[in-house]
Amino acid sequence: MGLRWWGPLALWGGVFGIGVLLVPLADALPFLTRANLVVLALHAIAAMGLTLVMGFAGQVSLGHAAFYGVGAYTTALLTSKAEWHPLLAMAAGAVMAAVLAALLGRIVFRLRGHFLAMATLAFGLVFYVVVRSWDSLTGGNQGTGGIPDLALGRLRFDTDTSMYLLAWGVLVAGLIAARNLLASRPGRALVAMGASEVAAASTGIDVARTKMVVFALGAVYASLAGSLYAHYVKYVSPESFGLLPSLRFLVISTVGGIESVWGAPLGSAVVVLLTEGMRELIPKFVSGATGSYEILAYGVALVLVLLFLPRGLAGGIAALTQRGAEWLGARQRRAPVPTLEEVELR
Amino acid sequence: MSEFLQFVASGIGQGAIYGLVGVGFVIVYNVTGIINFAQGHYLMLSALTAVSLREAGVPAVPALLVAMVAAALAGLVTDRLVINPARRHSTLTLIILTVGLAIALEGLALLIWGVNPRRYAPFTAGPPLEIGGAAVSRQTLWVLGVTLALALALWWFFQRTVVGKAMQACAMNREAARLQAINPAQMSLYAFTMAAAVAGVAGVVLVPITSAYYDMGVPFGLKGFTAAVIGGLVSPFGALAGGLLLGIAEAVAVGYVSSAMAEGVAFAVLALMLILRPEGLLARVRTRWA
Amino acid sequence: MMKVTWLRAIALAAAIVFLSACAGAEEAPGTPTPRPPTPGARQPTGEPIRIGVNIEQSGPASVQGEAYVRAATLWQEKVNREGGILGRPVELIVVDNKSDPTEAAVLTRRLVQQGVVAIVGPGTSPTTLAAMDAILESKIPVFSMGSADSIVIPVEERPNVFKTPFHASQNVEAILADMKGRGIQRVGLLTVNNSYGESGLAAWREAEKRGEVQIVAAEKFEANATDVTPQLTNIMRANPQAVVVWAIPPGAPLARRNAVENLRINVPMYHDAGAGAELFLRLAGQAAEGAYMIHPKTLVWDQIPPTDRQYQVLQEFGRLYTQRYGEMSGFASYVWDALGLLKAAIEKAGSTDPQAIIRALENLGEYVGATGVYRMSPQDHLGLRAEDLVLVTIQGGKWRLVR
Repeated sequence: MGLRWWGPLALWGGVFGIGVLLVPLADALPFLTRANLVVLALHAIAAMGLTLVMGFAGQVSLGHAAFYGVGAYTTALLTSKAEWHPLLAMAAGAVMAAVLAALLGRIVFRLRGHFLAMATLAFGLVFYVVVRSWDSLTGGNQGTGGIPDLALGRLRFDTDTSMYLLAWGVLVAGLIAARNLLASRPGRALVAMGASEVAAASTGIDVARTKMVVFALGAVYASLAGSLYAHYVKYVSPESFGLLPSLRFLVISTVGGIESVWGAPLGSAVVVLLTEGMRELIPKFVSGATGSYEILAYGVALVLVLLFLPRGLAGGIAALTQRGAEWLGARQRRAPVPTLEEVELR
Repeated sequence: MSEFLQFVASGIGQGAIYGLVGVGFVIVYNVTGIINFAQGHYLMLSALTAVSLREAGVPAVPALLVAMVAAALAGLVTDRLVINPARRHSTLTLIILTVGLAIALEGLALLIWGVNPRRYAPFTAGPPLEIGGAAVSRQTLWVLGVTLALALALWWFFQRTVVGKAMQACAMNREAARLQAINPAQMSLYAFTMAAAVAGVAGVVLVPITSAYYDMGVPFGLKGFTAAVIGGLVSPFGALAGGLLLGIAEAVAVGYVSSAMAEGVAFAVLALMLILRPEGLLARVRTRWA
Repeated sequence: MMKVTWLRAIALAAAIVFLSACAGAEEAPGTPTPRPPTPGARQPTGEPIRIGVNIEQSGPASVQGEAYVRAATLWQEKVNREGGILGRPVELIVVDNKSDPTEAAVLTRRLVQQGVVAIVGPGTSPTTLAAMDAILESKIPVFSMGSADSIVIPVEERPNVFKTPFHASQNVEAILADMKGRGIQRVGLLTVNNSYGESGLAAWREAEKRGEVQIVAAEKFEANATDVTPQLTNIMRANPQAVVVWAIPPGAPLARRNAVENLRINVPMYHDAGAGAELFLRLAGQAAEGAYMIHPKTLVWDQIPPTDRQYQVLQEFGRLYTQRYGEMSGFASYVWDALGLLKAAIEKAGSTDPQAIIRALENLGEYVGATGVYRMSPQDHLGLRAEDLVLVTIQGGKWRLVR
């Protein structure tokens, strides 16, 4: 952005404004509630972490919900049992998630491609099993509750709207952080690495360490979202952190586009709209179980997007604006950046 | 001692199934370099199809055959419609594609068959057999018998047929195989179809033991993959052996340590294998599929 | 090249949608053809009374979820046919929480936003407990079908929450009563490793503390386990006089099959009320013969004598449900009774004001339901007694009343 300080301010103010505008939009649509908006924002934050890992570090993680769970459970236990301040608990959760991610990354990043994917899947499930079995700490299958509202000074976030605006604010902060990261030196190293690990390594970038840092960062995003979730629902149980939530984050990241930080919010909005819209529309045409359509829709959406919009919605929009700009003569036709598929050797 | 044998007897039936699913992973991976996350779902499809046919009154043998063919067809469709268009894409894309396929298949199964598990009776009626102080159900013997037969058939296929040898060639070195006029796209088609067919066989023999339900694809897929990894992902027979080991380990862990271990064992084994010994425990069986 | 792939994908997508549409259409066996109104009853008119139904229609708890929704739909038709509540038609808003705790909480708020006067559901403990804050905030009467005692206890903290299934402890009480008659003291337990099984296990431990039973072995198994023979082997090694299995299908019939087919267990096996009805029979097959289950009378509704207080209700419910859906479900009556209780309370209160309904529920006196005879009070938001449970067994592939 070549503009001065008011450039970014306008941008981010605008983004926050869009978030605010979503509230009356949700009210207007009969099938969307403010509660849906909260979930939209929280999942966008978590998925943004996954986007950083997948899109920029090129690693796939099928166990991302585990970090979401770390944040949620840390907040739950520290605020309800040890009466910590919510912000401290949230920070503790983030630290734990980062540490776990770093450890996991160290172990797992030796693996490549499919094996890495499977390993992250396995670890996500191990986390799930451990949480369910460690009754004394986590309440096991029953879960644990009694989580207080999130309150900062005189501000209480105990309604759907306030929680949503807070989450959206955190999302915007996350977007800013991600963009700043990518513009910084280590960030550019990251992008370089995404394009070609070999080339990046040859310029002195510590590929292994960079990957781990990104993984930890992605985990922190998920953990923060998880902590907010705990304050929102005020009850945590293992079901919210198993395989299906991990897959949902995957769908959000992929559908939104893993090459852009805007992908996660876009993807989350699409998934929420799709889910709620179908919940509303399908029963009108076909009588039968409504929830089942969602699973099918995830799968079909994922497959279709990957086959036709492999760069996701954000990528598709970027391509459109690029074409538009070329057509208007505003930009030279650019040679496409070599993407991972072309660089990778089989 | 006899309870140890009893644990082994329970685990071995499950383990054979894991092994069969694992065979599919190995074949596809070796021929195409892809891990198909939907591999377990072919088992689910054949199991539910077989149940529906039996419920509709179709006699046993045709019903099972049709179900197995259905699974094979699903594998074929996977290759043509999902994998082939994306062959040039990155590993990441392929991974997510097969995950998406798995999710879609599960959603479809939920729609078609609903939520309730279903089952048909074991192939032969009668009390379990006493073997060394342990009771082994007749259906478990069927599972073991079918697995053995399949193993022999696979051996014959890879060793004695042209297509089988071509697939092995692809597995060993894809570029060289191409130079020998072996078409990788065609090999891929065979690989996916075969893998799904084997899973399909596993599905139909499994139903009397565990019932068929719409979300059985993921657990069996994961454990099948673990079985394949134990075998080093290099040989279908390694996968079979890995599956048996995994099944027995599971049963023994549950019996001697705790039942919460049941789920954790497979995941922990997978995680450990991937970290410590990705080349598998049975890596000696490396270059030839026999 | 792109064009061909586009075509293929469209074909694929169209095929899937078409297939699912067909499947969806077939899946609802009883798409209700509205029956003509009962002669004499006035057609309900006016502003509909909206009741929310927040159920696990997919996910691990969908086995019960399906039964609950069926019962709700059946009940709604019956009530509207007979003139509605206070002359107004009943409208059900059915939502699927997918057995997910977050969804359950979110949907509770959504239903409240849509102006329901009461909610039936969620149907399991984890989903109910997760939605508890939303439920309490709403202040409208909510009926849960979860098993955990903490759903309605302590009552002071649950002023607007009610449940209709028996407490786990009542199931235990009923089983113990039968065991006493057979002189059984030593018991082996097999419970499913989730909150449902945990509540059962806890109730048995309580009974053990009171000296009513000796638990010689306690094993657990995962809800999606495919074989529980190792656990059963361990249990039998401790030489129990009876085995108790605490699980819903497919775990419950699996345990029965493994016990009979793999181990040829020769001691009585008891199941709790969650073991399911026709589903248990179908999945256990031949092995089901001789299994015992403690259950509300609904499973054997056609064997209950006319002298029983619940006879009328059971006949009506049993006939309606089996006529529409072909087979009885052990779970369905919980929703049937929840809705019936709501209707009775609304009529007693003469209004749909939530507080009035709650007070009416607590002072309803006796309400004869299909599950049992409810006597709710400000201290008891369940109101059932263990005496209403019966022991049933399977003979010739059918449920038979034992006592």
